[in-house]
Amino acid sequence: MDTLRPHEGPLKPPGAPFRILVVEDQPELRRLICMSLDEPGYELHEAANGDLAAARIAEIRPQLVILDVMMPGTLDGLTLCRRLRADAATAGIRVVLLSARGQQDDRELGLAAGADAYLVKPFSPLELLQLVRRWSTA
Amino acid sequence: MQPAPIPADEADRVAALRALNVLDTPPEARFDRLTRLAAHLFDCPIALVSLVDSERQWFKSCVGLDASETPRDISFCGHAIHHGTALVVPNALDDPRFADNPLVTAPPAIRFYAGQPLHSPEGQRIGTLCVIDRQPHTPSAAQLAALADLASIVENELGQLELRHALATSAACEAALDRHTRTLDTILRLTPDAFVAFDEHGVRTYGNRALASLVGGHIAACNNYAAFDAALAAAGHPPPGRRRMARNAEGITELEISSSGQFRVLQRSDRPLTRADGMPQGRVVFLRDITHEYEVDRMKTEFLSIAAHELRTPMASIHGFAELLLKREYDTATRRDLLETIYRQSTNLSHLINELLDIARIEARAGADFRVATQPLPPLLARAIETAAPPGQAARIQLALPADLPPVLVDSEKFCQALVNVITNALKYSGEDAPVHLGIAGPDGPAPGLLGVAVRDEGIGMTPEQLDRVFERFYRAEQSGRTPGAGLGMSLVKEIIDLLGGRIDIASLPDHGTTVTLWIPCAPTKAP
Repeated sequence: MDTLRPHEGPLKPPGAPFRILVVEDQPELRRLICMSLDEPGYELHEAANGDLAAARIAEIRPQLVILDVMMPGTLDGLTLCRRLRADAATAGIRVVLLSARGQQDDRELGLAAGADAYLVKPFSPLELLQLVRRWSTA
Repeated sequence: MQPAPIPADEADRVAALRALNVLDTPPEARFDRLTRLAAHLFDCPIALVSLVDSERQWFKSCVGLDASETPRDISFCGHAIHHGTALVVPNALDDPRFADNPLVTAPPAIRFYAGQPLHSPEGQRIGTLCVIDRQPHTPSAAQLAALADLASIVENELGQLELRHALATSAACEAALDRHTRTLDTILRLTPDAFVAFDEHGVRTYGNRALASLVGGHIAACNNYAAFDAALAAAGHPPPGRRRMARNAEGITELEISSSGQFRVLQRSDRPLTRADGMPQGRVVFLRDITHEYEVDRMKTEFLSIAAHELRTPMASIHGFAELLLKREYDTATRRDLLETIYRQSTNLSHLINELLDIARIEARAGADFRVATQPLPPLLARAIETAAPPGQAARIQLALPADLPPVLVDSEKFCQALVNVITNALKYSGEDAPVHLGIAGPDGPAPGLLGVAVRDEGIGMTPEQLDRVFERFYRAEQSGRTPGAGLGMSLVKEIIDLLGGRIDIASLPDHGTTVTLWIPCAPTKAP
């Protein structure tokens, strides 16, 4: 794993900022994800549950959503992911699912819901950053 | 001497003889009358009903001879059974077959022998009715005809013997069958599992008592297999939330049915019945109620899933922030902040692990390691207060006890653990200066012999919905994350109090506070 200083990331993505929505009910994990992705060119937004996230997505049109699977409220991560894929307006958004469930069945369920990646908690913040860099520079 | 030859069908012959169950039985008058008559008819001193066994001839009846058997090879009767009619030896000394036979050359010194073969009911020659003299004789045709008649009567008597034996055997079989049936019936009546039997035409021949309670009256009333199978299939479906169990080699399937408004998960197993000759004789259907096992299974899976989530979430913070600290440079204030988060989360994690292990330990041992002893209550309360109160908070706990308390019957350590959890909650969910009252509940307990230890706070209280779920593992009424805890404390309290044989009452009103009463067994108060 590479060692990075907070502002030594790749070249700033050209043009408009890369908008990321972090959806996680645990405030500390939300902070961890935001700190991990604290790079120039990324515009970070937060939502504490699925319902709030759905509203934020419609509002800010992010390129990427980092989505916790198990959240309180009416809309869990898997359902929200399926909903994004089903709607032509949001089908192109990249989705990373974050979950405490790491069994093969759970991964398959996550990928079947349309996620681009499935990370199991505890996850590596720098690995998450690598994923995001690949998509933001593509 | 010519030894008595062995007939070609010897094995069948001996089997037929032994099937009569007459060998070595005591003498009987009905045979002795006939031998006496035969001796008189021939004017001979000796007459026998002789049965030729594999190695000997044995006498069921014997007149004029002091023996019950002789070896077969020297026997005259061994020869006689080869004859269709009577074997007559007028003078043995003149007959090369017998002249040097020890029965001739030595006492009883036989000269004359006439033996009429005796037949078993199946027609095997099993012995003779014979007359013997120490003098030569030349019997008349009339005498020999009378001997044949007497032999027929002996055969009848022997046949009756078999009949009587068959009757006795059948009565014994019937008694054994009856006992077996009664035993089986009692077992089938006692078992909570259902058994239904159908004959080879599908007609119902048996259904035990448990059947109706398991599948409901309308299915239990089906009197043929097709109707029963269809009714069961219509009422049931594979249990939800469980991968459908394939019909395995033993034909076991699982189905969920709803009978009289109650859902049950049943395990069904069909077995064919076959007769001794392998022909189908119908089938037995076995149904077992596995609702409880199924529920336990589901709860275990759910517990595992929630526990994984609760363990991995703080772990994600610890692991993630530690990685950032190792791989990136931060200023001192941020570093300190992240370290504090890691410290806080690892403390939470270790509390959680301790609570999980406490629950697992208590469940696994089911109270087997509890050291229940009769002891005074006040020292236990003092110990719990000391453990539960954070530094400087002991004054918030107000203890009020009546003068004469009966001793309680508890495991001191486990009871204190339960009480500490309740007091900790009371402190945690009420204002920083709000008092927590610890005392004894009113005299009217939920059951005699229980003493109530009540913990009352003036805190945030719970709604009826929250109260309903208070013993649920990982359930937390307060989900903002401001109050630490994993939602296992009250589950542990319940496990402990249940195992002590007590009860828990909780009364709560939002914004007014909560009273938790732990009812524990106490020693009976002495009669005045």
